[in-house]
Amino acid sequence: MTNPVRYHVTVGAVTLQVEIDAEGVRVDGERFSVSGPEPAGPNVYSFLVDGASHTVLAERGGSGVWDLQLRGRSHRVEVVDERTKVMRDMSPAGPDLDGPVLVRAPMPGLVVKVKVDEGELVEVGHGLLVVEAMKMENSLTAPVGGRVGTIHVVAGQTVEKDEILMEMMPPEMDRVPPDEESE
Amino acid sequence: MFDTVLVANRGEIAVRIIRACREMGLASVAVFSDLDRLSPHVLAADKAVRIGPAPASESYLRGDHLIEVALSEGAGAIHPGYGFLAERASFAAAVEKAGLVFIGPSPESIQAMGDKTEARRRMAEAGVPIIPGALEPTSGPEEAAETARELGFPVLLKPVAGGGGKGMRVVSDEDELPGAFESASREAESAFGKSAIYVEKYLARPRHIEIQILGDQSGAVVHLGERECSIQRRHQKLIEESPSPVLEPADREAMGLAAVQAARAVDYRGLGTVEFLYEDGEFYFLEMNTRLQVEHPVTEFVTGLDLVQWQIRVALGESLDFSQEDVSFSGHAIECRITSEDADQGFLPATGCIDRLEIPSGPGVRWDGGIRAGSEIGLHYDPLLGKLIVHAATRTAAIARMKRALGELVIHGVETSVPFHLRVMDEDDFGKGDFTIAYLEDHPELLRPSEGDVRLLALVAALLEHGAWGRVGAAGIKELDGRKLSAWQTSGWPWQT
Repeated sequence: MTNPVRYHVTVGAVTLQVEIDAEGVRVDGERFSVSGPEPAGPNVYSFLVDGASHTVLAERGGSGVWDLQLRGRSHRVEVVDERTKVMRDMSPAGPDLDGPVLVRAPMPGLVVKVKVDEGELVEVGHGLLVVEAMKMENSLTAPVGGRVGTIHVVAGQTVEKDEILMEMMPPEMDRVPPDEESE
Repeated sequence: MFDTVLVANRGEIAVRIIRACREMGLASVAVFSDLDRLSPHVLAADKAVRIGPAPASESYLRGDHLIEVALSEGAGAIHPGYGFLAERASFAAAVEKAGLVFIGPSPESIQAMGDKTEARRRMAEAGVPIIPGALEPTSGPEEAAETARELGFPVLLKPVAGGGGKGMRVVSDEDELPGAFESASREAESAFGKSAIYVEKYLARPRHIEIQILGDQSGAVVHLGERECSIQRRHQKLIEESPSPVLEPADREAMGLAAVQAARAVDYRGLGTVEFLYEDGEFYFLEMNTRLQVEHPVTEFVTGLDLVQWQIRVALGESLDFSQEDVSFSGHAIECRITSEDADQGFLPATGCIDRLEIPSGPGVRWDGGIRAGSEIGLHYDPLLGKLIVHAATRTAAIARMKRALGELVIHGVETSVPFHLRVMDEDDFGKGDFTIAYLEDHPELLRPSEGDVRLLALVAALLEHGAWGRVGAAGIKELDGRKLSAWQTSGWPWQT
């Protein structure tokens, strides 16, 4: 039997291992019998997974990046093959030091309140700002735990969709990068 | 009398009203802002008139201008729908003053029920049970604290004007009160133009059950049963059904009677909804919505009545041709509000262009929509895209039918509440009818994809990516995105021959 082709697939915050061989597919070790993808229209694919019929809207957003709509929700899913994964893991920066996590405005609106200060340590889910849109106040919470970096807005300011509101420093950024340590 | 109706609204409810007019042989005039030139309600109406730029304050909320348009287009009546001007007594009065018919209750009824503290006083007088709390607006945080101490925390701060959950704050102790008071006043001012707040006892885990009433101009009032609307987020209803899975016939009769008393207490005519909170077998008047309700289709399904047509018939001066004894209920109906909100990001408002739309059909399924393929969904208006309503013999069958219909509904290009609704239909407590208005807090797992869905997504993406490489790889090593592929990467889908 041929060796399986192995992919590392990231959906939201989790990465799963998908192995494809002549027998079918394993996801994190669990085996599924699959038929598909069968194109069923522009950007529409049909899959039979263990006999269950699934229709997926799919657009390839670049190498290994797929925008999928399944059961009414869109998901951006990243697929990395084994070799690329090995090369990425060997690169000196490592996978963690990607810089600050940017908190962006999810919709145009008015910043009603900034609830944290620069340098403050917060847990994931902590309230950062209150943005009013469509006459409702929406609380924006910390996407990661860590230190609050630069805050780019003040209360009373109107913001556009996707405007950067503040930066979050995840805990690994508080570590001294290996290069500086050696000097 | 009138033969033409101006529909002072947009979206799904404008389409619903235009459909009723069409079926009654009445002409309809739609109005639209610059954003809505090609919206379904404009395409559906007999005539359509531009009323201004996108912001509602310069278009759909310009009452005087809407009355001018009605007069110049020969419309004898204005239907306000819900939201916008529907519960502004001053607008209803101005419509009547211009010699037009306002399709709704009298300005006096709207006024009495729109002021929440006055409504509470009137209901208490009429013998309708109310939630313990103030009967007057609160002067400031100090008085609010005093009332709260008498009632016992937690308490709820509520705007004297308005509804829909805006400007409401739950306060669990005295320290939180000043901040909550300030933010509630600010939100009330911005949403309703009035910052006044009052205090009532907060019921933590009630159900929201409301009674539909219908009255004519001669004073006859009937109730059309209840709607269970406990599945809410921040006081915004998400799923409604009728009948309620918990109400006994005796409860229904008592609440129906109270709702009819509430309507009589303000000389009500037309369609209205009396909302109650229900906890431990007791019910309390919450508020009365003096208008057509978003969730009216579930009552239409179980009673077989066309509520919008009845609303118009009452405005035309017709009397009810049936009495309370004639009202009967059949089967079970459920409505899911399909909004442009992303449940997986805390119901954040989503925007985009709907590039694909497939509407469910089949037995017992109804779609009341305000969108079409090509619709741009922005942030200027309410996020309600449409409503999916099903009817079946039993609640279990209705849930199965809703699940089936949600599976058929395809809206691509903007995130919607569809995935949330699908998860609710599979959730056990919902299936058993065992829930309160705290349902969402009790079930945070409904706000993210299941593990099974995540596995399926990973599988699908891997296969698609595998196929994308495989297609170019039939002849061996090929280049894609500047990279060399080895034979095993290009092997395609070996189990598919």
